[in-house]
Amino acid sequence: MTRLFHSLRLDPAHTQREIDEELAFHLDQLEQELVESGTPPDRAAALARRRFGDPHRIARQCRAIVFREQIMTRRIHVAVTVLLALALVAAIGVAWSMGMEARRSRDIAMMQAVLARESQMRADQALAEARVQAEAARAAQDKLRASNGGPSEAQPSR
Amino acid sequence: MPGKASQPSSNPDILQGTLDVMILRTLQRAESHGYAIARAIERGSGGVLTIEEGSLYPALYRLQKRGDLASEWRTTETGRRARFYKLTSAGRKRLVQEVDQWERLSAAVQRVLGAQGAGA
Repeated sequence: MTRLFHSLRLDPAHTQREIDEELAFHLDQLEQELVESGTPPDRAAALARRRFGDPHRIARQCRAIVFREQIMTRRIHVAVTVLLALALVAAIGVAWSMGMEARRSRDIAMMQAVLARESQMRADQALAEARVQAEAARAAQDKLRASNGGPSEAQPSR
Repeated sequence: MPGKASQPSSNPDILQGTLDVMILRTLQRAESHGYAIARAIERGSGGVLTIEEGSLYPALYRLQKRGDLASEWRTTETGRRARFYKLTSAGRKRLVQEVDQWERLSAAVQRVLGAQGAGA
């Protein structure tokens, strides 16, 4: 008997036809009942419909119930796909920004190396200039002593 | 819920559960198509309950999807095709639960109404 339970096949067109037939049967029975109890036949159909409710709306509700799992599954599939795509974009973004960070660190290191070399060069230059000045000062000193008649310093200053 | 209702009233959950238990009870007595279920509910209520008859069908489809009902197409005596519903064993269990729940709900509402009783 469980086979009969699954007689609601998930073939949309077939299911829709069956729902329509089922509702139409009920409406016809209602109409017949009204006619049998004295309602004019031309009024019975409209009256039956009023008692039943809008068959299109009801058929739509029934279809939604039958296909609810399919609809939910499709929505889940779409949601999972979107999430995976977002995760992929996020991963690429993170990798790119990590690459940028690495490049930035490398650039900073290079700049620091350049700056270090420059200050080294400046230090060397200052040292050279200082030596030059020291030599000039000594030469001036010697010249002064020589003009004052004293002996020149033969040895380098201690 | 009572009286001719073109739309369900403002408390859909209670209303839906009430309709469900009446459908299950009706089908416990006999396998029926939707039209017969509607007539049985109307008759059983002494004419007090006339539901919007189409609203039976989403309820039937939901109950079937939940596993409480099974259905099959049969030919009626007049030679027309109609979908007949019956309770499954799960549906029989569900009926017992729902009747119990309905009775407790009904008693609770009675107490509230009683508490606000005469002279309020």
